[in-house]
Amino acid sequence: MWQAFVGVGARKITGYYNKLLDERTDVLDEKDLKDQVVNEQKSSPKKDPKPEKWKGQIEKDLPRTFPGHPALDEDGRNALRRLLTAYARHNPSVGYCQAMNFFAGLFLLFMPEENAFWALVGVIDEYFEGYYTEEMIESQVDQLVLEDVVRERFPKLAKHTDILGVQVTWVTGPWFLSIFINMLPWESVLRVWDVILFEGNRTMLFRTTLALLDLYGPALVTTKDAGDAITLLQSLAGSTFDSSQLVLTACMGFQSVKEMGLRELREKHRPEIIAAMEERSKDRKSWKDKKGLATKLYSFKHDPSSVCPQVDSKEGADGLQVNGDSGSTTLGSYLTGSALENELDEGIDLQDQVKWLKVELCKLLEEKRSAELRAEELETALMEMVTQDNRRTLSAMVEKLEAEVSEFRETFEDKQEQEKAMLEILLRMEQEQKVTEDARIAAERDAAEQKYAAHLIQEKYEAVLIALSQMEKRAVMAETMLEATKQYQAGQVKAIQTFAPKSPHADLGKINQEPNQDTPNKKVGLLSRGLGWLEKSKGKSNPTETNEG
Amino acid sequence: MASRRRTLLKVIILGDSGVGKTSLMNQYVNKKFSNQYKATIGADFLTKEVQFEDRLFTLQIWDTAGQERFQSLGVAFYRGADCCVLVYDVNSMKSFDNLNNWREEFLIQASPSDPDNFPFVLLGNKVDVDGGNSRVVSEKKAKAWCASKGNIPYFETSAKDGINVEEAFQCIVKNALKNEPEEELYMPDTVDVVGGNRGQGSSGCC
Repeated sequence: MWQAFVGVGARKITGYYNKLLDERTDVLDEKDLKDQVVNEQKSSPKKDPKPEKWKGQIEKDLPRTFPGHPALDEDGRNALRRLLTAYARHNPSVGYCQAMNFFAGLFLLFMPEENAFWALVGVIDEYFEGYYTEEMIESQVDQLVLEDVVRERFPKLAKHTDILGVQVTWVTGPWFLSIFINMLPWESVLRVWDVILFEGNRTMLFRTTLALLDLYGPALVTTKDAGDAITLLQSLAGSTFDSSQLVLTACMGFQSVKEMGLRELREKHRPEIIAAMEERSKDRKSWKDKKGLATKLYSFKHDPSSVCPQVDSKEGADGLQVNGDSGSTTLGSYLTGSALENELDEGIDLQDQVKWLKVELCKLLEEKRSAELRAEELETALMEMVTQDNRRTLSAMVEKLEAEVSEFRETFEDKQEQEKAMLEILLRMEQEQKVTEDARIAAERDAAEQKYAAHLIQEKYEAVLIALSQMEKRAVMAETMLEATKQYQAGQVKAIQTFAPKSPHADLGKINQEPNQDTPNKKVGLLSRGLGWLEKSKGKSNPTETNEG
Repeated sequence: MASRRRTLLKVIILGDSGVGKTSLMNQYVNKKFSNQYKATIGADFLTKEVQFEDRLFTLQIWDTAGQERFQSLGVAFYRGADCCVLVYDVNSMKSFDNLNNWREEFLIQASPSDPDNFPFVLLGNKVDVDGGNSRVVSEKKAKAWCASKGNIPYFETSAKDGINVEEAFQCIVKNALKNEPEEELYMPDTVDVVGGNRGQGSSGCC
């Protein structure tokens, strides 16, 4: 996959890699030849001092590339050496820079050696152009750009680090330079590399860094001194095992960090860096001047042939023009002066080199053209992918939202049903209330009626009582009349006895019997009338009772 | 007055690639040595609490990448250093010859106020290698160099065996503190002056 992303196929120039490797032996041969020629003129000849220098550094770094990894055995290291040497020859303006050993080692784990070379070429020459050169200008520019972006995105964090006197770039510098190798856990490194190689630019470096700051910013803000802050940031980055979260945060959360914007910021900051570089090399020169001859003598002590430093620097400048280098390399050529002078003295050799460099330049231009084409292709592909990706994420979001909406709808329906039920219950309640109200009113009315009835009955009762008392009076009158009649009858009986004493017993008996029989009758009649009334009143009072009840 | 702020000492370790800067730092801070250090890219950083003359300090140790080109990135953290540790490999003449460059580069980029008296410490590392048979830089030569640069303290160390590492860093702390007294005298002074002014001001108001 990586090979396809970087465009190994498109870059590959058959035989180039082997030619580069062969050149080494050619050079060795040449050196031997020259040794013979040179021996007459100069001492200790070195045909190509730079690759020698790189060789030393490469040798030092071979065992320091993923130490202990099983793939980097004897053969693995040899492959790594060949790869790095070939690259140094392919692009002398970069040569070998530490960190490239890790990239090369990484590629060698995933692809054949020659493809790994082209992948390395793609990454270093194109995606990280100007990053690993002698001056590392782009690398410095990117750190300034990052600082800008961090200030914009995390103002609180930036303020805190300012107070502590920490520059985030102290930590992020190594992150960028090593493209997170050894800085993040392996899985995260590989996923970040996936994106970088796929996108073909450095935007992912920024996004990943911002994602890390996003994840760990809150913890950083609590730190109290510079050491704690840096240590924390380093250790947190090293323990970012959730690669998915990291990549997701980086790509989605910081999607708005775009290559174009970064490019603008880079343009803004590049002059600063270049100016600072020039300032420093000036400082360096003035320092040297100040220190005067002594320093110079020390630098060139071991080189008895350093007679013509002026020409030397000229040669350096020529070299610079061809290689596209700038200022500070002059210092490098000062240091390697001895060797360069040797070249100077060999005019023919120089011409050869110029020719070689021209050929190299043509190759590079060709390379660049094909690379540009490839870049365009990749960019369009990327745009498509991005839009697709966007579409995919959008549709995913839409689906999610729809699901949420339907859920809401369901709950809404539920709620509505509940509401309906509640309403019904309410209605029923109301109805019941109405019914009870009606019942109450009816009851009240009844009560009023009953009261009225009771009142009437009371009245009747009183009337009856009056009637009763009248009746009693009448009864008393009747009794008195009865007694009067009795007296009258008794008077009459006496009179009869006195006027007709015949059979007084019989008559008396008869008369006695008669009134005796009459009075009980009357009495019974009176009593029965009284009882009848009582019954009557009882019968009347009973309904009132029932009514009242 | 001195206990008011936690004293931070910033130390930068410089030297050619592969002389053992990372190993020395790890031996000192973690008391560990590994044969499997990775090449340092850019810079690395460790802290250690140290006690010196009954005072506690936080030592911030910056381990730098040895490859020359990384120097251009060093500006950012060279500034404010209290001491600079130069390291070379006693088995490599080149690493010794480059000491001058490292020293000058540091002085240019850190631009300390008094470059002639800025504290450096020199460490000749890897004295253990091959029982000292592969050694190419003699102690005498190293000491002569130190003498020519204003009596820079010199230690012969082995990060692998832990030889002289603790002693060297004790000396580093001591030298880092050389710059301190001036600062400390200066700091309380300003505080006092400000405090005095304030006192007068408030009494005047009352």
